[in-house]
Amino acid sequence: MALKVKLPKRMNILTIDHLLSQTVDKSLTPISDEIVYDLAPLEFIDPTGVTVFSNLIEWLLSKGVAQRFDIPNKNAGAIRFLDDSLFFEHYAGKKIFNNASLRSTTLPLKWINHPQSHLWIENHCISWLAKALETSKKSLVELRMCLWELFNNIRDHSGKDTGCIFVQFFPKLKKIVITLSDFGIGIPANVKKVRPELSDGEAVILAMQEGFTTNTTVRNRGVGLFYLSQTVTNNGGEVSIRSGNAHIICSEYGYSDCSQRSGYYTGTVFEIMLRTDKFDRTLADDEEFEW
Amino acid sequence: MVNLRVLDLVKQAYTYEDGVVISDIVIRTFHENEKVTLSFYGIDAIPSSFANGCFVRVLESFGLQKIKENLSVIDSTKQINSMIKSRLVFESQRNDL
Repeated sequence: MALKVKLPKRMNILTIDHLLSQTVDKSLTPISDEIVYDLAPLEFIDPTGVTVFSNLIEWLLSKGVAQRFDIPNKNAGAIRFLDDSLFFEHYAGKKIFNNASLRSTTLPLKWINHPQSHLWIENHCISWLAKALETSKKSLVELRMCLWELFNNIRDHSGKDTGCIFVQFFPKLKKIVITLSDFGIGIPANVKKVRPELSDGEAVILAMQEGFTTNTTVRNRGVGLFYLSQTVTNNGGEVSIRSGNAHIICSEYGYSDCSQRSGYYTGTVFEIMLRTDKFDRTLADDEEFEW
Repeated sequence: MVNLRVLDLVKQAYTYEDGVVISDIVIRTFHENEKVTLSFYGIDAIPSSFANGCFVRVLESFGLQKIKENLSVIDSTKQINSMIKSRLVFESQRNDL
């Protein structure tokens, strides 16, 4: 008997756990070996919703769970967006609409492992955005840095080498949103190995401080998340992290702990917003090194 | 004086392990009391993991003063310089090196 899972009306960073709690238990075990996703309620899905949905499907596939979609209202905006993002082509074997095609503002969903990430960042993500912004690849150092720190962080701390990434450009809003999700151990679980007294929210905030390290690896030295948040806030952007019971938003105004209003997220999801009109295009300029 | 160009030694300046390839040579050269000039020709920016492997390892072996006196960085950019200094200054203060 297949488990029927209703998607929320609006799927974003606030509602993704609604989907996860119906499909995966806290010990990272699939709740059923056959799932039907009921997309009838879905009216809106944002990049984080797409990333987490995809990450969930991929992860359940790896566990041998059979999955299919029930889509009564094919004309809903969210369904069109998913179709144009090539989501159904990838997961159901065919597009819903023949004319569905990747929007110029969307970088297709990518299930990516660490060794591939450097080339993907350079040859796909940076090249695509440079073209969309009519700028040089050299001027997108902040975006590069965010992606580098994100992928290196997943590799160093999640216990996984793979993440699911989706990038959406909003030209009118002059912003780019990057979402990356993994079903690894999660940031709070890592931090609490050395600071068990902290809440999940406090643990994530601590992990973003320069130099805090759990010493799980010599590679990171506790600065990856610090540089990520520093890069984003210098740009006037925002980074939201959900991991375990934590939901932290970091912006130029500091940290907001929204954990009380959120449920449990299995693994970690990052939602990064960068302002394309605030990129520091001088970062890759030649400069003589001096102490 | 030993001249090194990062991209002659590694395919990319991305991971901690990429940085270790460079720092192994720098550490060996410092042990021989030679100075090093390190060129970032062809590289616009580096992440913290690479900086940790490339520079913090050298710091842990020799301290900041030795690096200042014996390591020159050339063909660099604003971001690379900022990352190197930020990582070395922070780690030297944290570990009194």
